[in-house]
Amino acid sequence: MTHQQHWELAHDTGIVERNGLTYLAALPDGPIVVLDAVASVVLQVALDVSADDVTSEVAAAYGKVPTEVDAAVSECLSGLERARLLRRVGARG
Amino acid sequence: MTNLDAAGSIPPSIRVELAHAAVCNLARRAGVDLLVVKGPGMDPLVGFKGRASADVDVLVRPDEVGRFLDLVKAHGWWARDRFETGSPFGHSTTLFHPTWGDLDVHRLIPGIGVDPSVAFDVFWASRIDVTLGGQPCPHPQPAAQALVLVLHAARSEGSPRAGQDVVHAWTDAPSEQQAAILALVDRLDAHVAWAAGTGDLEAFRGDSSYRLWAVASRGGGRLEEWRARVEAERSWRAKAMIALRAPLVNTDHLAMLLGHRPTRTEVLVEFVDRFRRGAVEMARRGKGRP
Repeated sequence: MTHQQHWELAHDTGIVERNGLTYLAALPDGPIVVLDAVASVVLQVALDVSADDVTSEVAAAYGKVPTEVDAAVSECLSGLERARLLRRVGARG
Repeated sequence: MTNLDAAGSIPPSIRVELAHAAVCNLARRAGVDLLVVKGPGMDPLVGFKGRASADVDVLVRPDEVGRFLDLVKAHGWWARDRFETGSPFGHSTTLFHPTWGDLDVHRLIPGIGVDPSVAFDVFWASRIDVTLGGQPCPHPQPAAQALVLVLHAARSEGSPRAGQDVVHAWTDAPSEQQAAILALVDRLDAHVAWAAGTGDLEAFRGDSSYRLWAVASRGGGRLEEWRARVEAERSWRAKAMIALRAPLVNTDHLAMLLGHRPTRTEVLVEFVDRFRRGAVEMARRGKGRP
């Protein structure tokens, strides 16, 4: 049995994706947070793959090596976590 | 990642969708029953393509309206007006939030004759969840959405969008949808307002609410509106209350026009001016001009 962690939106997160940008809001009070195109890709990847694989997947999407994007990816995800928009959860696999 | 807190810098359609999510999230967490009655979650059979929404319109279970208003006010909304001053029908109040914009809270749908709590139960029993801003938002089923939209059009005198709403939601609707809508018109006793919305009001000329819907759908002066409101009331006590309120200044409306709460002097000026405008209206009517 393994413990894999992944990212998911917090239950009270509002989300709208439009024209490559992502708009998030901690509900019901806000504020609205706008993710630019790169941060939107980071979020999409984070919601699709295990937490350990996010950096490598984002790097692959932009043709970079993981060390080049690691800091930016971590900063983006931890910022969303601090804003209570995203949470890291464990899953038994 | 950019944090934008000012509602003005977010595209309106995005802000409105997230506002729906915020309102529905808040109601669900507090256990308040509400239905989104217009807006971006409308069924394609009801809302025409490209129909923009500027605010959130919700119908709240009538006996939970007070609790819901307290709730939203505790979360940063403030009232622009009151039920008594919002419209001749006293059906809704508008609140504003710096992030989410306007929220119209309805305690009833004008034109529906059955008790508001009965109407809410009918809508609630067949509700559907529509995801807006990532959150489930309860809506009436499509035939009920169409009924509400056409009844809204019936009191939107001269609005081109209301005309488009009626054509799309009713005239061009498939026959099964039309049958479902008409069944609701019967069940909810909405015949007069429905006729006003679909151009058949003259069939109800003898009804006590005929004049009110004639003014709402075709327009008329303030005197005409107040006369219609008195006629539409069933009890003499209610008629008297309307008549007594007629000359009073709607301070909420005046505040919106002025951009600030009116001073005593401004209220007095408006009070006097109402009589002048009423006299002009009567003089015009006497000369046969609109």
